[in-house]
Amino acid sequence: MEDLAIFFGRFHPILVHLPIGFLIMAFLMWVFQKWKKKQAFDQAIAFCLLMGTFSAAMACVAGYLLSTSGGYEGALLSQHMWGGIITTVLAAISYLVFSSDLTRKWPSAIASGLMILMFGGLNFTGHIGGSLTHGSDFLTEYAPIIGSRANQLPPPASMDEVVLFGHVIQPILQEKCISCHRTDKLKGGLSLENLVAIKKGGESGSLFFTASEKTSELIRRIHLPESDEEMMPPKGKSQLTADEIGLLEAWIQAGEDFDKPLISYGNDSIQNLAGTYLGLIDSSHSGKESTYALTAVDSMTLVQIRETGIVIRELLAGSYRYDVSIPPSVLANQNLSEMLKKLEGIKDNIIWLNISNLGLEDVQLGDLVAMKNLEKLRLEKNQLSDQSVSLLAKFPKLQVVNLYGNELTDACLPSFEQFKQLKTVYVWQTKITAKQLGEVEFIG
Amino acid sequence: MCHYDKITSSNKDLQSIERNIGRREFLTKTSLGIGALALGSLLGADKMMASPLPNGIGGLPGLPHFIPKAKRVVYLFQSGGPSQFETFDYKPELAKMFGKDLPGSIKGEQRLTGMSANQSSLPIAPSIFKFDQYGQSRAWVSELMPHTAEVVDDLCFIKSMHTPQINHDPAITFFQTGHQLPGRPSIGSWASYGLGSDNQNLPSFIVLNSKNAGGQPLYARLWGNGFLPTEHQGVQFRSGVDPVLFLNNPENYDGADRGRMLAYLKELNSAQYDSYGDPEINARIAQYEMAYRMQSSVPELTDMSDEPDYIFDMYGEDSRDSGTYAANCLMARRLLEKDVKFVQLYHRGWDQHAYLPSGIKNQCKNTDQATAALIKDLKQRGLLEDTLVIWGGEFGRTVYSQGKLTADDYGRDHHPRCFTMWMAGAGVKPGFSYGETDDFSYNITKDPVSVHDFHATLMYLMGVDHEKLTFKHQGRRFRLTDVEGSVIKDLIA
Repeated sequence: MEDLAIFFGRFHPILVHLPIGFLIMAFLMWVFQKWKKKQAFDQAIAFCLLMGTFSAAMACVAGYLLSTSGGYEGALLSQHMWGGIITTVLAAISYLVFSSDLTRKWPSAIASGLMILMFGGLNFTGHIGGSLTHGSDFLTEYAPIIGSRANQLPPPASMDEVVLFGHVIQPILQEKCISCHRTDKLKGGLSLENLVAIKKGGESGSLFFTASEKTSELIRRIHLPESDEEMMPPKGKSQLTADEIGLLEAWIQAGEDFDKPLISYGNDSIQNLAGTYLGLIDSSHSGKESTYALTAVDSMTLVQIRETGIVIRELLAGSYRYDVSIPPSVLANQNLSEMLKKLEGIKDNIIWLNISNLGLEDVQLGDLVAMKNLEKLRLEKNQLSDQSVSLLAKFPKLQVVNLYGNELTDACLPSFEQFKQLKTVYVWQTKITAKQLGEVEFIG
Repeated sequence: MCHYDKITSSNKDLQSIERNIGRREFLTKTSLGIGALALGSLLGADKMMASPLPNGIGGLPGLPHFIPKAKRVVYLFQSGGPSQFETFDYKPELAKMFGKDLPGSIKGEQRLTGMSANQSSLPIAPSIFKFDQYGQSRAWVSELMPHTAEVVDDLCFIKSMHTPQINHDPAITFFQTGHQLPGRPSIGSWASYGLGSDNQNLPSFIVLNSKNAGGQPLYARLWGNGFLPTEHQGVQFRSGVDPVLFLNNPENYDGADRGRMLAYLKELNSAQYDSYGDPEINARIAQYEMAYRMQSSVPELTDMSDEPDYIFDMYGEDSRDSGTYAANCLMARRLLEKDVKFVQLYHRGWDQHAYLPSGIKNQCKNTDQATAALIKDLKQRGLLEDTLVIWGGEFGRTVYSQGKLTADDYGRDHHPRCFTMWMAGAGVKPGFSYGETDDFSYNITKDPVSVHDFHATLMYLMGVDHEKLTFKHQGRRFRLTDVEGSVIKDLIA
């Protein structure tokens, strides 16, 4: 019997929309009629009011049945219930007034009063109903100035500013838990709406590890299999992601912490999880591939460079790190120095650069803009001399440089000593005779 | 000026053709259209505007998924199934077991080919060639490959390759396309489709096939594009003065005329595309334009006069003879220097069912020096840094002799359960050996690598997540590795 009651009770959210529609319709027709100073709609208004009364009554019954299933407590519930009943009664009286010719006999102020009261009741009840389902600040949460969001912590600009609870945990609770666990709904007696309530816990225990309880009810529930009735969030609701579970665990493990900065959590993986959650770390690429994207380059700049025939590849999609080559064929109708100038717009984004086989001379390499992130440089088969080597200083991260087929001699070797980060230099087909120098490996 | 109206014919048959958009095209267009509308409203117009640019020349946006280690690949496919016993998988214990029957415990339940299944015995045939260790990595290499022995410290051996296919055609098709039945795109086509090109004057996928090598035939579908757009199929370069067929202008036909003719043809084709909407028309336009550019880029490639003698000496005397394996290795290097993304070589004739010692000796003689020279040459030019070299066949060979075993002659049947390949260059561990086989090189004892694993690893090295590069065809998404394959991280430096 109880199951049947809940079954019918759950039709409440569907049924409520019928009286809302009918009664608003009746109200609007009445307003229209008042404005046009005619009474042409009286019968239609009566019909809408009758339908509205019927459906409102059904919604009331279903609503009552739903409330018996538990999970809805407090003042809001009784306000909603009485609001619904009163609105239904007002709609019924209005119907009686409009369906008879009382409207003509009675002073019109009575009918007007009834309609306005009924409409007010409808709005009030509807709003309270919405608050019951979505939370009382659902409507205003994002409102400027007065909304609850307006008072939240400002979003962190860097990892150093992140507060674990305020920036990470609270938003997770807000998004995934609070629609049921809040002061005016109190599923399982638990509210996660404010710190006092969170510390208090729910009917089945504390969120945190306590002296008596060795387990955290929260950790236990979020790890249950989906088939388990006690699993949280319940089946059908938006689930926690693996990252969010990891973050919640870390927060619970740390004890009742509501204001510690993230950096005070020693654990690297938590730093990573939280950084990813907040979008401060790009971890879409695992392991060594994890890189911070460079400053964005706008696509018009890229298009303009590409139009000249320069080939640009992004080393990793979305990273704004580029592998750039100037193919010799583009020199057929363009000037090399001008081509090299084109690279200035993306100078800090070039990681690999191939300007080989272009007849490049020392002067042009000298004019080339500094590139602070360049790691691999191909300069082979050009006309560079010993002087060119010291020019490489403008590429502080250079690891591999290919210089084969240039006019280099042994005299350039000492210049390499300043580049401690350099790993490989290719010097085949040069006049260099020595093969080894310090840690630099020469191939050729 | 030339102007085309949308073709409207008075002929009823033609009209019906004009109205006809292919079923698949229609579905693709409408579903894309509706999908794009929905997406637009979800993302907001501003995000639609910021759609990423294609990568390189014609690559897909959103790639690469990883920082690529290999910008180019050259795959030296040794067709026929080179014996692991006479090359890299040294099995000294076999000498003591000469002529003995292969133990049942080793053979297990494996089905043999019809060529040796009915033999009364399966006599163990140890390699008659000597092995030695080379380089700092102390890798074992047979005396047949003295040049490869010089570069072992650059090689990354996989001794534990295995394949489900025991016959040539399905095994090669499996290796080249990820599936044993014809019709899937080959590796090079996937690379071209996903990553595009770095040289607009040459195809991104080029095929070279040694002349004068006998054995099982190869088919153009091995470098075919399958269901991918046609411009991603491999373009075969032949030997001799006319390496790409139908590229040259007809006699007495002036290049400028040709250019004008192609410009008009493009307009016609574009008009055709506008009324039919078949994407293959665009592929055709792209191919005509590529062919026109290749009229100047290919002669430049095949003109070997800029190669000094010592380079020819390095690759061996054969390298002066266009179309040999050695000449193709040299050509491969020239293509890689021009940033061709995927160069596929084939050398046939490794299928020694009988007279194996003389056969394999000849194969090694024709390939060993040039293979090693390619590694050395790429290295001295700094290209081995980001070029991946792959050497291997479609399967291995049996430990037992097919046919009569004598002191100095024997044959070996196909063996898919284990065989050796190697990779070198970009991103793989140099001087490294992965995987082990038992004393009979019959079963893998450690770290097996499937063909799908190999493909997954190869894609990874090129910066592609093999699970993410897919193409929807006939209602499902296809990928090179089908539903299998994992990247073998241990191979990666």
